[in-house]
Amino acid sequence: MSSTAAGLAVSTPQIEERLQNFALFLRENDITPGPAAIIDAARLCREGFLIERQLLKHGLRSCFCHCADDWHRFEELFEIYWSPPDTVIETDVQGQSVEAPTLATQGDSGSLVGFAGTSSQQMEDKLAGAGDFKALSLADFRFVFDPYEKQLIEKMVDDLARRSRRSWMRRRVKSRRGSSLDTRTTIKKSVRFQGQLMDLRFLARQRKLPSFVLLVDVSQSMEVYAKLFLRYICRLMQAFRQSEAFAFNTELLQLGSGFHQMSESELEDAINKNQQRWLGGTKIARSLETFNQQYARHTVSRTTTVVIFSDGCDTATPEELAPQVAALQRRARQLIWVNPLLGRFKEGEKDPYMDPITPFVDRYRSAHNLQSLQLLTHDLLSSRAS
Amino acid sequence: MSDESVSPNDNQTSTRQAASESASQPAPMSAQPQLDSLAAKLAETGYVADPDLVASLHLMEVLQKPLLIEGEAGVGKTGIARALADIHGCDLIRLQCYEGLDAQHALYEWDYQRQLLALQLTGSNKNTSEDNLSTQQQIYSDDYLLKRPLLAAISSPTPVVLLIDEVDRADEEFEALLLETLSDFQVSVPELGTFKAHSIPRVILTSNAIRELSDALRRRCLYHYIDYPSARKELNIVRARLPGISEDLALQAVWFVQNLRRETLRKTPGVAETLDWAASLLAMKIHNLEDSLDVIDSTLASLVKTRADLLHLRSDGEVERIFKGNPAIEGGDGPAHKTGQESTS
Repeated sequence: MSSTAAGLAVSTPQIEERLQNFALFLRENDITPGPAAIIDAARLCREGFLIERQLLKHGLRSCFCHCADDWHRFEELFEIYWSPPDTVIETDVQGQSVEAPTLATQGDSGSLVGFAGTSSQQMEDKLAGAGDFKALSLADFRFVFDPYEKQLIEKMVDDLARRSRRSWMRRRVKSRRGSSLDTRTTIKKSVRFQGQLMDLRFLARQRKLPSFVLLVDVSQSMEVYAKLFLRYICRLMQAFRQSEAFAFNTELLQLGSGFHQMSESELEDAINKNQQRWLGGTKIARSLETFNQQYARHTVSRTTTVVIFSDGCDTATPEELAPQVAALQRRARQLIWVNPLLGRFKEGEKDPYMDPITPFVDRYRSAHNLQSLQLLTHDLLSSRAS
Repeated sequence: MSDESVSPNDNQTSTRQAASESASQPAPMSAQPQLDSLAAKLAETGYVADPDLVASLHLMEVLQKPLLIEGEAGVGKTGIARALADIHGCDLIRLQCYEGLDAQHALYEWDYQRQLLALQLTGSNKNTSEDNLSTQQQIYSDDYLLKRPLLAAISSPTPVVLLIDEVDRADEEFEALLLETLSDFQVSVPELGTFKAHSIPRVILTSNAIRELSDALRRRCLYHYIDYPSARKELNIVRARLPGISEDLALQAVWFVQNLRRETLRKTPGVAETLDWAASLLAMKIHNLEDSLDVIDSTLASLVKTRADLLHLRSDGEVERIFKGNPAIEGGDGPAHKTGQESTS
């Protein structure tokens, strides 16, 4: 082991500054160590982790990473930051080889040290204000071309689906009536009656988590929206585990139990892998018929909310589709049809595909932008069917 | 482990400057000897740990923070807690999480039957509000408190290993309960006050990433991810856990499982499954799989856990294809090709 590094005083401002800069560098690459993690990292340096490169890497990884995605990307970012200057590193970060960033000199204390090949000007360009977010939330997904904005929307869709679970609190609240005795409160109340259980208190019934059956149209006409909807569904299924998801175009495909466990990169791979197979003409009526015959009995009950993400463009006639939708609606608690093209129709304008279908759906919604997707999420979690 | 010293991408001058500045300060000792010692102790308990995991466990000790371990089922997450308890010769307190787990099952509960009895015995001739108050103080005391795993770990006089297993199975509300315990090592009981830890427990949380854990919980923990082991590591695990196994059988079993993990299965076998399977082969007195491929077929139940996977593997020639497929053992850390009669031993 080389003793050169041992000569570095680990508590010197330089080392702490480098650690802070490294944390900033990670943040710019979507790994977000907090202040406590930086303090821990400084402490581990004092505990002998700075002596060897591997040790430092393992220690910092434990402190700075918070999930599997962070864990897998950390090594590459560590190499980029801590390698000697002018080293060319093959990396997937932002899809290019980058030179190791030159560390800020002592005089540049607090300045950023480069972001995996991205200049600070570029990073500044990417910073968005509140107004930009509002504009983005109203933008139709099909008009978002900028890769950074696309990424931002994907992240917001993820967050929207994940946070939906938080609005569904399951804490058992106290109540005057009920079937389950709140022993703790009842005994407290019985003290003044010398232990006689005169004043009974109950716990309200625990709310059951909702279950969804999500069917997404992945045909050519839905190409722009299908990717985002799949992402949304995947995250929604992580939050509500009783749910099932299916994709359809010319045939119905069950997305399976492992679908909701996919990480961001796995989901991306799966979507790209299946895209060629999925794209093509649409047979909604036939797909729904298959669903009604093979899956509906096991997956849809009077407590299930069924959501169909489709523009309704079918090779069959609407008259063939309508009975399948009606059968599904009778079986489910509520049926929501999400048509991303809905926003394009003017009021009173006729939609030859969907007009015959809408009488059989409980809610007919658009989800062409973040705002409408948010309304959809609200509908999904509302306790009453319309 | 690399011998390379840390070389932050600074220019040489500033490094020398820093070195000269720090000449008067004592040079920090490397943590490596402590890590080596910890790795050796883990190996004695039969747990084969990678250097990065050993580093995380050491950090957990130094920083006194919980360690959140994520990874696929059967890669040895729970085993770490057992091994730690063995090493330190302390108790292992386990809290198995499930949907609906609440404070009564995780933190504490009052002994209601005893409280009621005490109330009825003492309360018959007491009617004033002062009497009621003193009765209430009496029944809400330590004597009537049932300590559940979290409180038991906090109030243990000696440090214990607290395993919060499969935390992702519990509801988000339960995570909020954990926050106070994990950040301050204390539990608040409204009727009694706050229990502060007598000794800081070593806390291991495991998760199969079924559900996304909250940022608040993640921030309070160190993090470690355990992947499926490399062929070499898995072979070492099999050797350590099944000392009676022949070298050929261990090699072939690991070879087969490593190849099997490349297949698209509903449930990919973990190390636990490899050990179960190797143990069942050992019990059947099999020493070489090459001559008896039908044995693989009849013992697959130890390895695959769903009917669909079993049917898939039992289709024509699948087992033979996987067994004779691209061999996985050789080299260091990842699956690679093995040529001829090479072995890893």
